[in-house]
Amino acid sequence: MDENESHSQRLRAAVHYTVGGLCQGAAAACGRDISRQAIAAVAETTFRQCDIFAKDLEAFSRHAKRQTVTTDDVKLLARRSTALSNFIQQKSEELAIHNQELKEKRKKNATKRKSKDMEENEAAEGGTEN
Amino acid sequence: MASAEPEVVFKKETVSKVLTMFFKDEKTKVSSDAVSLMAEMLKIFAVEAARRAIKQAENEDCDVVDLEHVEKILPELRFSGGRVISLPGTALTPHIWWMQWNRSSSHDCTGVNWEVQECGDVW
Repeated sequence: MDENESHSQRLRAAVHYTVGGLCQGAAAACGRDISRQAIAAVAETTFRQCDIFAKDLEAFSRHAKRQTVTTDDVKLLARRSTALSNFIQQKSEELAIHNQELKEKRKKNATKRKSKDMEENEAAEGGTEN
Repeated sequence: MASAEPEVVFKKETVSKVLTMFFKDEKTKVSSDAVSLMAEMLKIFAVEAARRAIKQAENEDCDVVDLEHVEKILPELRFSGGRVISLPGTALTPHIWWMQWNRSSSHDCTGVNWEVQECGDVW
């Protein structure tokens, strides 16, 4: 159980670190300071919210008879607010475009490498092979 | 309006591990894209909480946003359907106020006049 606890603690700390940065940024933008305790409270709340999110996401994906949570599940999570929902939808589309670009890039590199390999194979004919 | 500082984001690895830790079934996984989206969601959540606490501190004429301000806004930090409330004048980052500020709540001792509008534009 100790291992689980320290794992949880490390993750808590990681969340705290990022939340701290976000809080500082938000406070600075409004010309104010924010205390460490306040940041800790926001961090803890965010961490706990992850639990709620995770359980919901898991329920959504199970309902769809999947074992992997997908962007569709996240979109469901964001359904309550129009603006949030639109935002997540937009991010999702950006991700899709980005993935498509990566895919095409890899394809291009793969065909380039293939023709290169073929040339090298012909040259290395008869030499030492692994 | 654009900030020159590096953007603070949740690391994908952190988000993935946190979510997985909270799943009931250990076989449940999260896709990479879903992790990216959740990182955004969490960022919005945290910034939302911070903004409300800051507003609370402002209303109490406090220079420092302290624990008590966070505690006061926490009860309202809940999912709530439909309406989105935006803070007039602030437009630094997309503030998607998904949580409805309950003006009739007994917790609301700030006398804040929230401007209620649909937040159509995002970035």
